[in-house]
Amino acid sequence: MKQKFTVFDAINYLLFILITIACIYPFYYVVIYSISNPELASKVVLLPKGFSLQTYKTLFSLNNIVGAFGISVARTFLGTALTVVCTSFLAYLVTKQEMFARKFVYRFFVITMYINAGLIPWYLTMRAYGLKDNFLLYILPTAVPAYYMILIKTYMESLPISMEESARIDGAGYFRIFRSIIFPLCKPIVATIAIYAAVAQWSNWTDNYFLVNDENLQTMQMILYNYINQAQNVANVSSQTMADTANAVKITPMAIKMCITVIATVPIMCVYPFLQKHFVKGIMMGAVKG
Amino acid sequence: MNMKKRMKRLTALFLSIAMAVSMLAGCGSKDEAKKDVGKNTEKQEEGKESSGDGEVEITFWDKDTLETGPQNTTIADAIAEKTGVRLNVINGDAQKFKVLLAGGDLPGIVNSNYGDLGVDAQALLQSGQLIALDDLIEEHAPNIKEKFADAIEYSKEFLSNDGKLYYLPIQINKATDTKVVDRSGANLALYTRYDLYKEIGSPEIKSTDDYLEALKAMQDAEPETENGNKTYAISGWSDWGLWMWTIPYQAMSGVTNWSYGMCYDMVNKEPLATYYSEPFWNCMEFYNKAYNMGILDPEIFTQKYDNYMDKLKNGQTFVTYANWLYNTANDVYAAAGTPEKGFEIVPTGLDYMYGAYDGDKPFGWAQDYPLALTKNCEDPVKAIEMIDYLFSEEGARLLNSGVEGVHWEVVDGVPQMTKEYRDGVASNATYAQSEGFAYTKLSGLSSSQILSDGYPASLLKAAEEVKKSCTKIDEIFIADSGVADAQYPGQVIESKIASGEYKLSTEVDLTPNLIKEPSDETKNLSAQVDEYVKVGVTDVIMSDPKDFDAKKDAFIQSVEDKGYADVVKEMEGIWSEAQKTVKEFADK
Repeated sequence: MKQKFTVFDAINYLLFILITIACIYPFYYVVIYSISNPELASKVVLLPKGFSLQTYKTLFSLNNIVGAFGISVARTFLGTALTVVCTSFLAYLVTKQEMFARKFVYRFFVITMYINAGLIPWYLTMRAYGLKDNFLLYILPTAVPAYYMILIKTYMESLPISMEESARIDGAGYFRIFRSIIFPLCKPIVATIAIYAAVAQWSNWTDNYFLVNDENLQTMQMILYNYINQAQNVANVSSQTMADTANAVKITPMAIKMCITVIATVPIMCVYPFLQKHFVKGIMMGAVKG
Repeated sequence: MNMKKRMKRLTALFLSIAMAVSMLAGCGSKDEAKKDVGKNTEKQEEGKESSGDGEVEITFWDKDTLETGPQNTTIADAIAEKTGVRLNVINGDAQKFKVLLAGGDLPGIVNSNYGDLGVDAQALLQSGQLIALDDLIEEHAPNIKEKFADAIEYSKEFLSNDGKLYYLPIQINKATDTKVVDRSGANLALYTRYDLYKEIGSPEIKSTDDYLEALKAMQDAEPETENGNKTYAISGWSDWGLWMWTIPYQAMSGVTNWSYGMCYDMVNKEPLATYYSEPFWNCMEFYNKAYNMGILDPEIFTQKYDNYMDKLKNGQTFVTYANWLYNTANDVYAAAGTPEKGFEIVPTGLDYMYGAYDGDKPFGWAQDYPLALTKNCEDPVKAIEMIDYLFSEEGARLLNSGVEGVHWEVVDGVPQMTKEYRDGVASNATYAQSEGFAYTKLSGLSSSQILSDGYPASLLKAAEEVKKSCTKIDEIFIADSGVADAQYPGQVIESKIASGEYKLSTEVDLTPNLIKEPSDETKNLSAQVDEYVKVGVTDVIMSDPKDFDAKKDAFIQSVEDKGYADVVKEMEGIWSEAQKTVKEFADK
């Protein structure tokens, strides 16, 4: 039976197209603003006005930006790996009824989601652990977020217990079952966690801001943040030599903010497609019959 | 077999992670060691002391620098050479400072300022993190002991809770016959497009009404810019809080805006409740008349500072409010090939030249940004010795004008900036900062302090230097003014102040510096009042002239409904207490 194209369908399509545009356009605007000539960029609507990569050049020539990029990549990669491994294993342990103090451990973690002592206690704690001016500050404290653990635990509990039992009968231990059976089956949820953790790691600069003064451990976000503050100051202060700004290349703070936004989000956007397929795959494919 | 492979892969992954983590944990110190070696060899080549021995790194909270961390700017190098101290800058916002304070991790040297740090001087004292400086100054700071005795007295009296010295006020100025006048003639004023003023015949202006008439004539003479943009004689911006309505007009009336709904009449030395005061309502009437004459840009109530700047640079507005705007506009017009366009101070009916030049300031910036050493100071003795040097004339010249031979030099007996400096500043907006012109909050003497060579600490303020930045409009203004020996417009204003045509009060007046913080309740009420005022002024200014008085009454009623009367009561008490304290201190 041929489906008629009703009025409802038309409105439906129209509505969703509008919503899609509303979602995509802001980001599109940011990107074309960042590649436009900064002086004309405020009038950008659909197409970039003028073409200028000057702001990007300035940002990439910032002092120590390459080292900071390396640090950011390192913390994203290592931080995400550590988070995934630790959180999923903890979630697995908590699903086992026979675990010692299981309920207590679980509730202990859940409470941390609701209770937050604030900035100063956090600072004092990190300092007490010796994490000041230390790379481990970037990856250790975020190794086990309670929310991710709950997600994984819930997902694991939905897996049929018969698979584990059959592996147990064959003589596999807990660790063996985890890495050979449970973990591979959790790919969808692990991929989700990995994306969340990677984005959080990539864009996090507050730990750097408060606790790390060492020049070699600055993350890229911190350097960009410092720069945008700096640019704001330079743009506001009028020196007595403003007459020569006609000669110097004009870089507006708005253009800098746009470029920084692009630099901060594009790497994550590149990583995302690779992880997306794991959302779809990985659902059990008839492992247990009967 | 498949399992073995997977196990190997997992183990390999874990081990590599562990390795990478432990490697990076030690990353910081390893690279730092490499960097130090690099610096050492470099320094040894130049014959200077290596950073390994002799140089002490002292942390310092500074928001003006280009980069944080150990400072390698030209000026920082000079300081290190002279005093053996390498400045290591830490900065951040008020929240970060409070966190560091709570953790006991403050940098070694801080300038106390409530706005920057989020904690006021008293709170910092009570935290117990500051070191008493009496003995240090006694033994290691002969210059400070001798020349800054007044400031030390002030500090012990007002910036201490046990009579010991904790804070060193900065930017002290001892007035001499040579006045260091601002290029424009004031810091805050109503500057007018002088070329248009001349175009309409330079009419005599004896009152603000005459001024408004003149502005209308100017707008009629040039209703559009060359690009076809509509002009408005008066414009402004609304995103600096209540700045537009409480600062420039009042400054020209000799009143300086203070906090929590109060302002201070500098001529009569009288605190006033802003929203009851005459200067404020004169300002409202001024803008109201302007609006009804069609010379006030209606966007003044909504546009941002950046928009205003664009209009200013495009020539769409004929009044501006501050010396940095004056500088920007005149320089931009000159760069665009129209140096005969520009702003100057013409008569406006108001005659106070706020900030034209400094008088005696024996207590400098007083409670604003005084220096303190914290318990984390890496080497208090070396720190005090460095500060002692920076508080000297040589130090002041270094901090404000740079290194002799690099940034400034003496040519035919006249100290002036070098070509290298000028070229640097012209080609790069951040040249000055990257060279180290960012530590002026360590300077005991003000940047306008005339040193023993007859020139100010900051040579950029010397008359000869300021003259160099003058444009054609400035020359025309000077010629018209009849002040024969003026080298730049500011000196015209100076002579008019001397002759009595304009006013300026340069007496030492500690009252505004001794205002204590009011209660939290007053602060809350005051914040609510300010919220209302932001909207209320729009209503008043856009009203019909015959409704003005009714609107004024309604406005005052509204602020009183928000609790303004209580705010005023407490603030007036605080101000009179300050006045009493000042008298007692002066009598001592």
